[in-house]
Parts: sequence; C-alpha cells; structure tokens
Amino acid sequence: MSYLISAYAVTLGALLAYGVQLRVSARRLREEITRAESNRG
Amino acid sequence: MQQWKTWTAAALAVLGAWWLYAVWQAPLDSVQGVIQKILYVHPPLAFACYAGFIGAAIGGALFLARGDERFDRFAAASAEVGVVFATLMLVTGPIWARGTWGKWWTWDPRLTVTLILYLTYVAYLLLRSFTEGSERAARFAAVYGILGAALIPLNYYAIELFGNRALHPDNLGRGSLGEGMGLPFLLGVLATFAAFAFLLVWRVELGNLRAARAEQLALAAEREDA
Repeated sequence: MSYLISAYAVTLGALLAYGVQLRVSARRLREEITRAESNRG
Repeated sequence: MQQWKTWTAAALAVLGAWWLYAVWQAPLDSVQGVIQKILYVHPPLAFACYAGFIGAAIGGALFLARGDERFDRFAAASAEVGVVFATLMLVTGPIWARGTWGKWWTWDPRLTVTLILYLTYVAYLLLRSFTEGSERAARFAAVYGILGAALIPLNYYAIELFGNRALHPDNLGRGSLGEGMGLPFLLGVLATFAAFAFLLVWRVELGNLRAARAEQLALAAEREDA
C-alpha cells in the first residue's frame, strides 16, 4: 500500500508544485513588465 | 490564451476527480494486489511525456520552416513539460518495480531506452538554458528536438524489438486489462493529458512573457545608448 501511495503522492505533488511555480513566475514577470511600462510612461 | 487556460483547468478538474474515484473503485489484481493500481498513473505519464517530446519536434519543425519565434518558444515549453512527465514516469516505474520485481532498477531494454530518451531531452533543456536568445541555438535545438523524437518509437517498441530479454511488461493491447480496469486506465490517460495541456498552456504563456520582458530590456538598453 505504501508503494502505491508514494507513486500517487509524488505524481500529484510534483505536478501541483510545477503548476504553482509556473503561475508564480508568470505573475512576477507580468508585474515586472507593467512596472517597466509605467516607469517609461 | 485565457480561454485555453479555462478549458484545460475545467477538463483537469472534472477528469482528475473522476479518475481518482475510478482508481479507488477499481478491482484489485489477483496476482499483484493493490500495487497494480500504479498502472493507472505510470503508463499515462509515459504517454504525456511522448506528447511533450513530439510537441517539441513539431514546434521545432515549424520554427525551421517558418522562422516564427513563437514556434520555437512552443517547442521549448513542450519539451520542458515533457521532461516533468518523464521524470515522474521514471519515479513511479521504479516504485512499482520495487514492489513487484524486488528491485528499483534493472538494465532492461525498455528501461534503458527510456533513460536515454529522458537524458536526451534533459540535454535539450540544458542546451537551451545555456544559449537563451540565440537564433542559431534555436535552430540547432529544433533539429536536435526532431532527431530526439526518433527515440519515441524505439522506446515504445523496445520490448518487441529486443524480444524475450525484457522484464518490463508488454505494451497494453485490446483485452489485456482485467474486468473493471479499462475505465480507470482510460480516465488516467485523459486526466494526465488534461494536466499536460493545462501545464503546457501556462508554460507557453511564461515563455511569451519572458520574450516580452527581454524585448523591453533590449529597448531600454538601446535608449540608454542613444
């Protein structure tokens, strides 16, 4: 049972962590772009 | 892009929940017992990793044909998401192997070719990270990505090609799953593809944002020089 739980936990946890990392990076970049645009204006 | 995000998130939520319920309800295998339920996650991860590497090859080919950087960014995004799924395939496989074969790893033809395929695309990502922004590197990466995809059929048919020397089970065929196991397996494949599509959309957007920011910085540097 522990092997089964490990396989599912690793998969779901890693995919969730990767998804969160993509979202956080995208949000930071969007903020940087907006800030740079407003500074130029 | 927003529409893609909404649709893939909705598909992932519905299919993911249905899949987990189906796995919970799936009958136990009479030989392997509960560990056989890794079947509903391990092969779907492999299919999603194939999709990622095929996406990288198609994106690379379109970039070479049309010279549009968006295809290059798509290729890089698809390869990265493919490597994430390949990593998980290479983690869940040994967990299953340890529980059934008694060892984490063996140099079986399927496992060996899988490791080569994985390292090929890890090298692709390293190449891209060291040479970001160079058009020449993008062209080289496109050719590399197309050649790398040739390993996919070798990986898929490794068991047939290497005959009886394989410890890894045969590819699934029609009727090879026990009663009540077909639906959770199908849902596993669909949910994993939904997760793949969801992550790919987000990764493509991140690539587009990085390109926009790089352009902004280049313009700012030009203005400073002038």
